[in-house]
Amino acid sequence: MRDPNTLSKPMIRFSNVRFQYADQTFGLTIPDLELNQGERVAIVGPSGSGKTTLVYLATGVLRPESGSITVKGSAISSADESTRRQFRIQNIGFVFQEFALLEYLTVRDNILLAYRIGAKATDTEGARANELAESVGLKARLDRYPRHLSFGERQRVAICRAMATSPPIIVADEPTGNLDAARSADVVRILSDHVKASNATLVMVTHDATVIGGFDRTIDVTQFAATAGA
Amino acid sequence: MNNIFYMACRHVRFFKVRTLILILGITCTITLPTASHLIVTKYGDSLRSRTASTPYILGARGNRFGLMLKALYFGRSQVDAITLADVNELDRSEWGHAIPLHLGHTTKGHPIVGVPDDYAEFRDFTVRNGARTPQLGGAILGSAVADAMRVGVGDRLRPDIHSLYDIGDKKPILLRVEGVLSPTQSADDHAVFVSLKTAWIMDGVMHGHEGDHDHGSPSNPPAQYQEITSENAGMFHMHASPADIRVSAAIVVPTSDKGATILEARYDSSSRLQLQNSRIVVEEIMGLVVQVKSFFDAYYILVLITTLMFIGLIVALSGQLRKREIETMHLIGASRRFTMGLQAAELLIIVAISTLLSAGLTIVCLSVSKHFLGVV
Repeated sequence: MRDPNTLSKPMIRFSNVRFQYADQTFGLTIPDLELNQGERVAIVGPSGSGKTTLVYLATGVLRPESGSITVKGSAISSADESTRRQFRIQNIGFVFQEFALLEYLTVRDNILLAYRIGAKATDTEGARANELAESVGLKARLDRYPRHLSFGERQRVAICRAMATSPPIIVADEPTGNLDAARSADVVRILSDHVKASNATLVMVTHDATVIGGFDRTIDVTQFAATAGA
Repeated sequence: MNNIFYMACRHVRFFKVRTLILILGITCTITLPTASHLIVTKYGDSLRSRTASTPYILGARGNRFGLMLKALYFGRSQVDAITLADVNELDRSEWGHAIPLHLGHTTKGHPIVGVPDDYAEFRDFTVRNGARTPQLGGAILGSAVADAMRVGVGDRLRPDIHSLYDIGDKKPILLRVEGVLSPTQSADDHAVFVSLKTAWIMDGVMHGHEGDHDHGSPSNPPAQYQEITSENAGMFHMHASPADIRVSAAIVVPTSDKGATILEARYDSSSRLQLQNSRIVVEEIMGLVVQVKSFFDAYYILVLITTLMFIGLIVALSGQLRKREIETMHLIGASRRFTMGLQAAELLIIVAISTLLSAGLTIVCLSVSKHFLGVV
């Protein structure tokens, strides 16, 4: 557990949020939820219980029917599509299941993907890729393609990609989904080390009970599940 | 925009096989109709431009298309010969001027054309260097022949042996290059011009040997000259009358419209000779070519539709395969415009490469067609 004093500043806040998919088959109702800066939160629940829906709401991928979601003090739930996209590029780093690296881009370009697709360009993005790659022992592999990397190396590239813009929030959507216990622990350790170093908030969707112990808080999403038509 | 093209280039480069298949498909789809259209257009222009300066052709009755292709473009079609007497008869009339042409010999595949002295003037030849009109035993080269054979004034040319069974026969006489013509952008660029007498010497109708006109005995024939020089030119002689001397055809320039009408009527009733209006015959040839082209156009449209369907299918399948990639980019923050632009840029790069390749291939096709079709 981390020092509660460093966790006091709310990073993501849900207030009276209600969300329903268009086909009315599933929805979430979240009366009040806060995720704090520097906090490491595990979102748990069985398959189909709304874990991914919750993080998509928190990152502006989905918009609620009602209520408000603020991220870093900005009301992301009422922002337009373009604003939400820009917000995501600059403020949220994603780590996906099986890492979803782009196989036709080199390690360097994969790490800098956020810059390629619209993040505000900086003079230091190249240096940032070098720095991140060096921090995970991949500097010699920067010009290789993902297919030339081992599983562990690909996993580290995915984490570097999420960290490239130094986002205050890291969202990991079941990154340990298909991994054995040792590899799952490794992913959580690397992510935790990085968020600790940057005081970022880590939100990780998982149904892997073995990794939950490494988090500051666990949120069971089933408590927010709304009955169809309710 | 730079990032879109950067990523598109990376994608195109990484998936080489897919890119190559698409490029080849699009290149063929562009090249086939473009090249065939340009070749037919160029072929038509080339055929028509020659007819403007060559109004009528006199030749043996038979295939008029073959006669026209042989007389105008020095093609290899087989047509019966006419006699020099036939040509002289027309030339002596007040209705037209006839310029005989002798074809049949080649040197390294290039046609050797026997022409009278006034052919150069008729075609308004200018020379790159050397003489304009061939002397006995001499040759004037079309510019393309000189370039292709890399020969110039003072070099010697050996005519091709026509029959493999002639290997025991005497060697063909050497031709002395006397001049090279300036380019004319016509069939003349691809021909070697010799005098009519030289052509008849090559036929064996005229010959020269030691001992003046004494032919010796069958067991002791005189030595034949292998090259015509100023020293031995006077020793060449003919044993045939103009009625027996053959030419392939004759260009006929009527003196007037009335002359043209009278000559047309005269040869229309001839059972042995035909006088053809080159413009009319060439338009008939082009009519056939255009008919064939229409068939190919329909075929190309089918190929185009099929190729577009294949490309559409590949793009659609590629879109399915890239669903995860596109979704990943959208989640990170890419706009739909970005991801669609990325796919469009990839297609644009492939189409641009295909278009460039197609332009190159079309130029090659046009160049090759010159040799196959014998026109420029």
